[in-house]
Parts: sequence; C-alpha cells; structure tokens
Amino acid sequence: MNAAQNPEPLLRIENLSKTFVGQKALDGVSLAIAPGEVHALLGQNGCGKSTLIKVLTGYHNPDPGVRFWLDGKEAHLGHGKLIAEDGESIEIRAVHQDLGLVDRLNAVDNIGLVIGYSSATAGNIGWRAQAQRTRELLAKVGAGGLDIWRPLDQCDKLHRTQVAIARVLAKWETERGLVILDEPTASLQAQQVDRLFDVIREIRSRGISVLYVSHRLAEIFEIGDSLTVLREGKLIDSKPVAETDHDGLITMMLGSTEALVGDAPDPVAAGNGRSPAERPVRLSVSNLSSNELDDLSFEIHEGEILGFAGVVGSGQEELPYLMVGSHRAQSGIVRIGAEEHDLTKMSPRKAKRLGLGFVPADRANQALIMELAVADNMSLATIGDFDKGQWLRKREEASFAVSWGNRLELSPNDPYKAVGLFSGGNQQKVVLGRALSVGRTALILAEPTAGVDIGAKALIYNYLRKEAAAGTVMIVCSSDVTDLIEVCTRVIALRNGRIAAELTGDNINEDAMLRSILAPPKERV
Amino acid sequence: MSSATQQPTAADQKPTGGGESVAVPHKSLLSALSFQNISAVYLFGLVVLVFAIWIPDNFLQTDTIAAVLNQNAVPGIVALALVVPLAAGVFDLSVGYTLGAVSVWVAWLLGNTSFSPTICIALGLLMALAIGIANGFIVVVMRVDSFIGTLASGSLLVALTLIISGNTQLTDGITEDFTAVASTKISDFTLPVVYMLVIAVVMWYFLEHRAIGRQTQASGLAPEAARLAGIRVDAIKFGSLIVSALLAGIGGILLTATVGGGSPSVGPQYLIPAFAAAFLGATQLKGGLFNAWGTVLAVILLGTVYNGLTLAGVAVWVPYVVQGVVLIAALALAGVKRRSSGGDAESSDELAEAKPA
Repeated sequence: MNAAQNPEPLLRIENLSKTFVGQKALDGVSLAIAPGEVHALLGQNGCGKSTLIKVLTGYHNPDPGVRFWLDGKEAHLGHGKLIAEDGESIEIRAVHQDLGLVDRLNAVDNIGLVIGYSSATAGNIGWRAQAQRTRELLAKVGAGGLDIWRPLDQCDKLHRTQVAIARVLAKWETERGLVILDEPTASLQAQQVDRLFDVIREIRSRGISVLYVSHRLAEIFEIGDSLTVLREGKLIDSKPVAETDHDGLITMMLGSTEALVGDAPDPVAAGNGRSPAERPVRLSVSNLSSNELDDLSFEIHEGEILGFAGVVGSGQEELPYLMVGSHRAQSGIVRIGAEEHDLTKMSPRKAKRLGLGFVPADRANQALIMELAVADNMSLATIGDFDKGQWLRKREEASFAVSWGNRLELSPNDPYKAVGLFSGGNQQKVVLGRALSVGRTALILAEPTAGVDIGAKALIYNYLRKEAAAGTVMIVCSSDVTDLIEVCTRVIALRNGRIAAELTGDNINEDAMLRSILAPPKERV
Repeated sequence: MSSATQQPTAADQKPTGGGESVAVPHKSLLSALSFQNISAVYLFGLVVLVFAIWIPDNFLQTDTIAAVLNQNAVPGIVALALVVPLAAGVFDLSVGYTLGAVSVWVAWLLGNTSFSPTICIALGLLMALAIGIANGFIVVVMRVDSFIGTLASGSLLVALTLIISGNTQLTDGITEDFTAVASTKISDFTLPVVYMLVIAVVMWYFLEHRAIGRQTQASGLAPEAARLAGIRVDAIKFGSLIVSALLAGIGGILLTATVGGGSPSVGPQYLIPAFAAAFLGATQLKGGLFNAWGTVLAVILLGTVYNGLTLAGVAVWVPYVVQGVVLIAALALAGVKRRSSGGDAESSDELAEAKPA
C-alpha cells in the first residue's frame, strides 16, 4: 500500500496534548492518516492510546495548542466529526473494545437503535423492511449471512464485532472518514481474525480510513498500511509498516528498557545465599484447569515473587481469581505447607482463612467501598479480629489503619476519610494494606498498579520488594510488563492457558516477555 | 517486619512494629452537629416552631410528644425492620403484609385455641420467622430479585391473611392479659414506645458496634468487594430478611394488642411510611448509611408533622403531600451530597486505561 505516501493526508493532527490532574496522558503528539488506509496505533498499556481515541471521538477535550487539518484545510473536532473551515466534514467513529452493544437484543435492534425503525401501517415497526436494511448494512461489512434475529449474548465474539462495526458505519453521513477499532481481535480465534480482516479490507476499499489498535504485532504486518507508536504519551515514530519489522516494532514500543526505580530483588540474597530452587516450597498449585487455564502447575519457593504474564484470554487474568475461589476452577489443588486444598471448593472466605491476601484487578468494583472510610476499607477482611468482647474496638481499628497507612505512605493518612476521595495510587495502598494484613501465607495480586500514577507505582514496587525480602511470597498477575520486571524473581508467560516460557534473572525483560506472550504469526489463536 | 505478616490477627498486628500506639486523629464534634449530618433535628425544631405559632393551644400540650410517640411506635418498629435488609442491599416489600398476617394469626390463636397469650405470641414470632426464611430462600437461594421476590411473597401473605381471618375482624378472646403487652403505660408512654427504643438500641449496637454490622453495610454497598474480602454476603442477606420479618411480626403482635383484634385489611398501609422513615433516616447521622437512630429520628419528625397537621385540622390529603415532599427533598439532598463526594471519576477512569476489560 502506498497510501501512506499520499501527499495530502485525510486527517492530520499536530501538537496534541491532554493533561489529567497534572499528569500528561498525551504530550505533543502528531498523527497523519491517509484516505483509505489501515493505520495501526501501537504502544504499551498506559501509553496514551485510549486518550488519543477519546480525544478523536470527542469524549475528551484536548489541551489548547493542538491543530487539525482535513485534506490540508484547517479543521476542528466536533460531535464525532472533523469539520474543515469550508464546512466539509468527515465522520470519526470508534468501535470500543467492549463493543458497546446491548447484548440481550439482536442485530436488528442493535442497529435499529442507531438508524431508527422504519414504520409500517399505523406506526408499527415494519420489521420486514427493518430486517432488509439490517442485512444490507451487514452485507456492507461482509457479514450479510448472519442470523440477525439471534440475541447477541448467544452469538460469538466475531458476530458481535461485525454488528458493532456495521452499526458504526450505519449512519455514515460522509463519504470518507475514520473508523477506530480498539483491540477488535481480543479473544477472537485465528479463523475469526481472518474474517474480521476481510471486514476491515471491505471498509478500506470504500475509501474509509481505519485506525487499528492491537497488541498482536503479527496482525499489524498482515493488515496495516502504516503505523504510529506512542510511549508514555509521546510520539515515538510514524512510518509505513513495510519499513519496519517485528523486532523493530518491539524496540519502538519499549524504548530502552531502563528500570523504573531500583532493581528487582536479588533472589539469592533474599534467600540467605541459597537460590530459590534450593529453598523450601511455600505454596504450590497443580493441575489447575478452568475456562482459560489448561492443566497449569507451578511452585513458589520461599522468598520468591512469581509473576504471570499473558494477553487477554491467556489465563493470566483468571488465575488470581481461581486462586482465591472467586471463579470456580474445573480442577486443581493448592498445597500450602503440608496441607492440600481443592481449588474447585475454594472460596474467598476460605482463601482469607488460609492467609491468602488478595488484590483484585478492579479496584473500584471489587476491592473498595468508596463511601466508607479508609479504616473501614482497610479492615474489611479482618473486621472480626477487632470484634472481641462486647464492642467493636474502633480505636484499635483506626490505629491499625493508621499504622498501615504510615507504612505504605498513604497521604493524607486519615483513617476517617472516605476512600473515594483519595487518588488512585492512594486507594491502591489501602487495598494493599488490607491484602497484607490477611496475607500471612501469600499475596495474590492482580494488576497491582492499574490506574496509579508513576510515583505511587514506584512506591508500591518498593514496598512489594521489601515485603518479599521479609519473607512474604507473592503471585503477581499483570498485563503491565513493568510490574513483572520491577518486582518478580521469576515470570511465567502464559499463552492459551499453558506455560509458554519461564523467565528468570536477566531474562525478565520486556522483549523476552512480549515474545513469549504474543503468539508467533503462524499459530495466532 | 516479617513477624507482622505472620501474626494471626489484624488486631494484634502493628506493622510499624511493637505494640506502641499510633496517634489517631479524632472525629470532629462540629461535623457531627452539622446540618448535613442531622438535618432532621433542625427540621424537627422548625416544625415544632411552626406548629407552636400556628396552633399553640392544641400543639403546645405536654401530651403531644407522648401522643406522637405512642401513635408511631408500631410504624417505627416496621421502619426499623426495613433498616437491616436495606443496609444489606436487599428490599423487603413484604414487611407490611408480614405485619398483617402475624396480627390476624395471633388474633385467631387467641380466639380459637386455649393457648396462653405467651404461647400465642411465641407462635406469632414463629410464623414471622418462617416468613423470613421463605423470603431468604426466594431472594438468596432462588436468586429472585428482592424487589419482585418480596412483592410476590407479600401477595401470598395477603392470601394467608384472608384464609386465617376468613375475611372478618377477629376480636374474640383478646383478653387484657394479652393487650397489656401494648397498653401498659410508663408515665405517658405505652410499652410499644419502649420496645421501639429497645429495638433501636440493639440495632444500633449490632450495626455500628459489632463486626456483623460493618459486614452488613459492606454487603449492601459493594457486594462484590465484600465477597472478595471473605464476607458471607449471601448469609448476611438471608439473615437480614429474617430480622425484618421478625421485627414486622413484633409490630403485628403489638398492633393486635393495641387495637384489641386482628383485621384482614391492616398491613400494606405500613409499607410506605416505613420506607419513608428508613430512607430519610439514612440521610441522618451516618452520611448515607441506613441506621437505627436516624430512622427513629425520621419517624418522630414525620409523626410530628402528621400529628401537628391533624391538630390544625387541615384537609385529609395534606399530610400525605407533606410526607412525600419531605421524603423527596431529603433524598435529593443526599443524592447531591453523594455525587459531590464521588471523586474525580474522569481522571481515575483515564488513568485506569491500562486495565483490560
């Protein structure tokens, strides 16, 4: 494709910045997208991709100083459109990762909600005409054969993705435009990905540009015309796909892999001179199977922080929930010391009794009660320990919360302040304090630094390292490779529910990790 | 340091080491007396002032306060019955019907059996317990939405009430032995007022000063977070429906004793005032949490308004208007307060972009 060399891009952005409470999510980014090209947008989690998408679709207002051009004419954003000075405009629409569909309705209704319903006699909906229009719209994205009457929650991911794309294109008022696809292939099978690519090629052939976001690098080489890489909110490079290769892309995404703060703990030093393998096993899991995991077994030795890396659907996200019995395992045994526990009968309550401290991935919905005070949240799992005798010992509870707050540098360290009023980083410290107060056997952390700023991240890493040096074993499951590099002594890379690689020492780096978790081009599943 | 995480209980655990006490800031007394915290007390003062000026001869009587409390003790107990399930995050719309069913059941037992009043009361409570277990089974085990589930069980209770009573007033065998549980007076106050206050004390103690109360509030506010923290959310919801049925049953027994009979038509009319008081009560004292004393305060406030308006001789529909307006206003104010304390949602959402869906 030589679309990228087109002298006059459809859409050009210069100096786009977006600041959130003192933090620059985007910093002077420029971007040019040619008409009818598939432009890949790449970067690690937190690099600013989502913010860029949200600015383009009008969800966020950019910082002042940005300039937009449409066909070389100065333009501005408005209501999902880019509007040039002379009134010409193009559509900008996004299909988000969650697709934004009403899953209990079928394709006809999901599309009807956008395009409206055609009326027959007496104001009734003309279902036949409506079905006809739905089929036509789906046919335009190469999906004319779908069962349009089946509720979407009974359909596979490809079906739903096609409906979502058809829906976005349904009210397309301008000839050209930009469709943003955010991780459309997440949890699609290889065959389905090929079908989705047909849809994308169909869109491209209509002259509509596609901004394509994916973590699967092999896909970029298959479908992309040009690409842009962001890192920490800054533009790293923008070039035709043909001018780069897999390794070059990884280097662009990661940059120099400098450590964030300090180093990962030295496993030998932490174990009084013995290497991890020589030390006693503190916790082991055998034959763990679930929806995503396939007969996984592993051991954690004293002094170890074991990391799990993996993309969506690899089992990395499900593992911590299986360990604490929130999701039900199909089979699996966890051994703690001499005791064996059946993971198919695990529950969060039992996990707590066994001393497994848990940091869930979704802080707002799974960990904290925003209306309640820090002390109430900190003691949520251990409140029974303060209930000795006639009255709940609230002074003791507050003092417990304050001392954990001190240790985790919670700021402000006010046990009576509602936790919802704290920043993300400070909220995470409260979650961590709770997990630590439970976790005498082990800590199980899912996305331990999701949505926390870089300073709090450093603090949390430091703290986990200290805690590990003091003898707490941990399992860290994260989609953010920085988490794993910074704290883990050993990392297991999962792919399709199985161990793809095991990394230790200097091998725990982003390059090796991405290579292990991203499937090679041929076995993309 | 390592000993900290080896300690069996959080209470013993001082992560900063040793047993030294950590300075804990005090809650401010000023904020406890703020309008935001106890608006009902200020509103109550205003209401008293208005009626004192409007109808001084009728309203400023020593027995007005006793009359308000005596009239509102049973509705107050029903309102308190709702506090527990609401705190645990479930609705119990069957409380009014439970009250009605237990009321006629006890009246029937007194009139048609030779059981002593004590045994009749015990059997009344047993029926309330059975209703609570049935509600818990419907909502927790069968996973029916509590709003619909308890509405449906309420319908079954209407049928039960009609079967027991034969759709007639039951007044036979209601002896003074039995009515004494409601009519005995301590100075100007009848016993149900005392029961209401005792129930409020017990509820306050368990909801605010025992672990079970904190776990109940957590289950209601964030069930998923509570479950992952090892709290038995389902058991708490089940238990809360038993508590509400038992308290509604007590209300039913007291009603039979107060009016000296069981009527198949009483019960449903207790539901809305009870909800009004429980929700208004949640805006008081505990910043949005359902709580016992806030509810008692709301019962007294709403009761005083009703009583004053009745004494002033207004049209029959006026008290209902005032009750509705007060409730909406209180909840709207609480809603505004909650939204304003919700934090910077946009930025935290943005910074959480790293999280996979």
